[in-house]
Amino acid sequence: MTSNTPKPAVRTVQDAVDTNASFETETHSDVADHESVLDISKFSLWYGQARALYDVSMSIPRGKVTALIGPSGCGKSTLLRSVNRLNDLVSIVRTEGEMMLNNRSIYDPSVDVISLRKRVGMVFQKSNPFPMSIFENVIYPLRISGERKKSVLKETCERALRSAAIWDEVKDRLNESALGLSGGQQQRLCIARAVAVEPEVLLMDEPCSALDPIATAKIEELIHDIAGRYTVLIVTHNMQQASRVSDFTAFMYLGRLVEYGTTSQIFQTPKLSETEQYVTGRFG
Amino acid sequence: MPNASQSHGEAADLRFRPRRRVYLIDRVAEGVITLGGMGVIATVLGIIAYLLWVVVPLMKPGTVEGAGTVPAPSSASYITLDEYQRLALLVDQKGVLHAFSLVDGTTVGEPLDLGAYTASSFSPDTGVLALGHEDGNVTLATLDYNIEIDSSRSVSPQIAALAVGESAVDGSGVVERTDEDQFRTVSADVTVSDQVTDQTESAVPVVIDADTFGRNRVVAVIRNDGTGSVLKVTTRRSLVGNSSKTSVETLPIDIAPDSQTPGWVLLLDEGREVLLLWEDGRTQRYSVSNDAYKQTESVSATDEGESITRIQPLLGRRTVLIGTDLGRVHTLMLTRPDEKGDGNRKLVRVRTFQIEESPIEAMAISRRDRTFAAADSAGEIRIWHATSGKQLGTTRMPGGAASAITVAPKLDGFYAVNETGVASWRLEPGHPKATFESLFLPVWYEGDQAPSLVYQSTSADDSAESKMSLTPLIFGTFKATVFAMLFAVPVAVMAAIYASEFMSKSLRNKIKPTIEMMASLPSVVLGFIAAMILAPYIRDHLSSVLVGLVVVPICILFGSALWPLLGNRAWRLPQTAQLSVIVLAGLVGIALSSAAGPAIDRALFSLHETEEQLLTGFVDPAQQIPEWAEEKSVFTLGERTRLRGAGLYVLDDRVVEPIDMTDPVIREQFENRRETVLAGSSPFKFWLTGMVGSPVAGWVALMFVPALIIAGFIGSSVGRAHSAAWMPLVRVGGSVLMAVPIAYLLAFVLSAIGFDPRETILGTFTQRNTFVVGIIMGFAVIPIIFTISDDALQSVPNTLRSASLGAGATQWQTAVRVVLPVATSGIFSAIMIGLGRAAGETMIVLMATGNTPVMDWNIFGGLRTLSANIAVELPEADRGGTHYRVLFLCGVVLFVITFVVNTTAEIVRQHFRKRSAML
Repeated sequence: MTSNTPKPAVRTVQDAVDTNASFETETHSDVADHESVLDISKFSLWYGQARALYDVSMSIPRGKVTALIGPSGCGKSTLLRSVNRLNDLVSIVRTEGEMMLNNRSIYDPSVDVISLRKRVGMVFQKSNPFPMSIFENVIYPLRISGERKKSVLKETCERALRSAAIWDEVKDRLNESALGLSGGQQQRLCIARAVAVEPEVLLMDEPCSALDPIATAKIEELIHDIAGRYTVLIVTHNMQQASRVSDFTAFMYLGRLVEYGTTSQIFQTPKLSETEQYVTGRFG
Repeated sequence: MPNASQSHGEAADLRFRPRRRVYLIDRVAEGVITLGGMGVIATVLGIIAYLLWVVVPLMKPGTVEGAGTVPAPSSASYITLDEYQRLALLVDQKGVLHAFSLVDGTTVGEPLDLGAYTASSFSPDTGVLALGHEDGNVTLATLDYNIEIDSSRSVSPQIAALAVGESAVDGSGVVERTDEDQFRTVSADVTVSDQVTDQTESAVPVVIDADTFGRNRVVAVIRNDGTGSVLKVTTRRSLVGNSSKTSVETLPIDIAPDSQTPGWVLLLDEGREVLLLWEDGRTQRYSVSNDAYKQTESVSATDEGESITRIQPLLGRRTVLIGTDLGRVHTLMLTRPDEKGDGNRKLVRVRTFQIEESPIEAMAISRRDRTFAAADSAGEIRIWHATSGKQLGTTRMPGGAASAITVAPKLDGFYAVNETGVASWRLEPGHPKATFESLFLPVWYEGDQAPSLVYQSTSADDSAESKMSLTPLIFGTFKATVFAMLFAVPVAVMAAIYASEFMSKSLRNKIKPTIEMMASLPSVVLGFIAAMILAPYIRDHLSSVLVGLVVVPICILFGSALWPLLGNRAWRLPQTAQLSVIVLAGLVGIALSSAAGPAIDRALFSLHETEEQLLTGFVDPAQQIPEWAEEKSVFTLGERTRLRGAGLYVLDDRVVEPIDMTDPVIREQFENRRETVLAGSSPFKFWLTGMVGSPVAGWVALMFVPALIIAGFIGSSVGRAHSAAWMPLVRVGGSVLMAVPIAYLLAFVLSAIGFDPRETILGTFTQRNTFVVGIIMGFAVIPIIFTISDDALQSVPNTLRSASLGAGATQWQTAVRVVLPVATSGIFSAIMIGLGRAAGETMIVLMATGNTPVMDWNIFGGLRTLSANIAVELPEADRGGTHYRVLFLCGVVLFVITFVVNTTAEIVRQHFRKRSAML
């Protein structure tokens, strides 16, 4: 750390935790310069009695890759799954606050969860292709919407597979089972499936944690490539990965969003000492 | 450091001491587990081996063992012996009756001369010997035996010297020392009647046959002048004194005038039928009518160019064995009146047995069953069972052809006579009735029109045979299983899908153990409920129950379609209330169907007044019967429908027409009768009997569910774009309304083609029926199918559900498109295991069906399964007998069925494991 950079301020999150209060996020001003696609304001979430998120507020810039980092259990996956309301399936979950996707509320009672999820693609930690052919896997989101036109399906399949940079590897075996693919290929197939319906936001929940370094590199490259076309919100444990693939980074800790800014800001000139300690590997 | 080394040493000690114990426990455990495991495997293999050991002898032939030859007092026309095989009676060609010991051939008593004869016959089962004499008279004799067991008898020194088991001739009988101080004397008991004649005829008898039927002796005789007659000899003993009075009643046989004298005459079926046979195989049947025997049938008993050499009626005189010059024995059988055809009896050739090429010389029958022995002119002897066709033994007569042959009364030996003497064999018949064919394929039983599959292990009278085809039982097993699975599989699998994919976790954790606890209900309790509660309830409320099967699911659908309207919008009920709404809707469905059932029944199957007349008996025999129906007594459903077109009905196999109801008195009687007979009863049950109603109504009822499914498909594809909360309600309601015309359309088409549901899965209602079994046995297998299906669904990784839901699929789409395909094989194996359980289920089918081994798919009829058959009949089966072994065979077949089912389930499950390992 050079001497000309200002020393990060010391505002401990632990104080907020001790008083069970929320924490005012240290947001870098650059974030506000971008048009946002997803606005989260004062979002809180409880699993039964246990509170998992404390008044999280952030806006995700359109067409950028935003990484959510933080130690285990900090609520980053919960936040991610709140965007497409997958947490609804857990009956004891309760939420407060608001999320707006392209200025349309996500948590309004009148929202049809099914059509919401069609607007938000998701890639999971463990690759989860369906036990069907590669083709059927990719067009699954269209099938469940009732699309039957063969030409549309084929076209979508190719476009999605090309987007996920896997087309050349599988174009001759579209009718073979997706389970025959390697781990990295399966994950890219899942990305293809997620982008098949042109989602407004693509959520990625540690997409590389189960992959070897070479497969990871390919996925990272892919994320890099699709940034611009899609807004990506990625959860990762891997700081290097966050610094490599993301434009913006949000650091979460114990259910609070601690600091949010451009990736370079978070990694090079964090405002808070806890962020600095985490990104330099001193805790977490 | 001394401290450290010390503690190290202690630690080593501490480690060492338990080690020996650990090794010991290890060894003991290994030994016990090995013993237990091997024991289980050995027991299972032992059970299978035991089952096979009991069953295999069924298929084996009997054994025949030569037992020596004794000299015969003369050549023989007929020979017969007592049940202990000690004393034989022999009739020679001159009409002299000899008695001799079968132990050493010593003659017993004086030969009895019955006079030279021109025609003769002998019935071994009754011992009736008939000799026709030159003067036209007939001598009837009964050859029987006296058995005396004597312990205090003053015996001659010769007899006293006998060792136990030895016999000797003494006076008029053969005496055997059966025990230290017990002697058994077998002596001949021959009664010779006065010579009988019909007094009007004096021509010489050429052929004759005689037997005892009840209290009468009947003689059929054909004379050289071409006339024939049947004499019924009745002997009445007066109650006082010893005098008896014999009366003879004569009926002529109207033999066709230009025919030659026949070679044989034979009385059939208690003397009601007479058969004349010529050497070339021509056979004429004469049936008794008022004053004479009239010819009713003419057939050929042999093939072209084959001549008859010997004939012999089988036990019961309904089947004749025809021995021919080609070494063959045909069985010619007289059927019962053909109720489905012209109502006549027929002579049919059923089986052909072949010795070798030489002509048949002698035949003898068993007095116990339909076993017979045949000997040819080359000396070959074979023993067969006439119904099953099984060959029990084969042997060869020493010294050439046998002139007479006889089977011991207890079927434990047989004897043949020729010039060298009387040869004897010990016979172990084994299981004459059991062959693969008789156990599994149609068998032509005596009196039947055609081969059939019948299970009737005990018969009413001795001359009728037990019928042991396992096919009706296998069919019953499958029928019960199929109907149980039809009920159980949809309910259990849908419940599993609901519990696994839609129910909240907390509720699921309560429901699942509850359903699993249902599996622990003893099947005898379920059987009891089936027989005592459900069966009477269904009898009384059949229409409500059937309507409920359709209405309750529809109401539940309505309930869930109502939910988005009620719960989310109007009242904002919590999500947990959804189940309550659905349950409530189900209850409404039950109430609705119990109220609407009888009404729908009356509306759909309403009786015309003429039909009510038929059911109350206000009918007369029809004045004018269509020509095609005149000769018939049994009418198919199609023919009944045809008759109905002409305003006619069938009652008790007769065509009837409704009587005129214009007379007010008759009408009032009818109204009263209708009130008592028909009021409150279900027209549907009358319809089921096939007496009344058209097929259309039944098809409407049957086709309603398929129509509902078709309508549901149409309904679900309409208005996809609308996601309004009232849309599901409209879809369900619309589908139900649409189903009605579709059902009617299908019903009219099917009826027009000429199908009637009453010929297939519907039929006359009996209280203990397959429907009851289907429901209760369904309940018995639901827990197992539910549990295994639920496990299979739960084993589908959650990542797949997340992926599907995350892609915007509904829970239903996720369940159907992603979860179910992965779990299919698991669900399949659940179904197969349930199937195996249902197939082996005993108590429920035993208690809730009539145990009638019939073969039809009538859901309202009874059945008998393999397992219930074993349970019912094993206590009364004679250990080691054919019946006993057949019941074990039932067990083997059941084992094979469940083995195949379970193995299929296991193979599928292995496949499933491999596939899910990839996920």
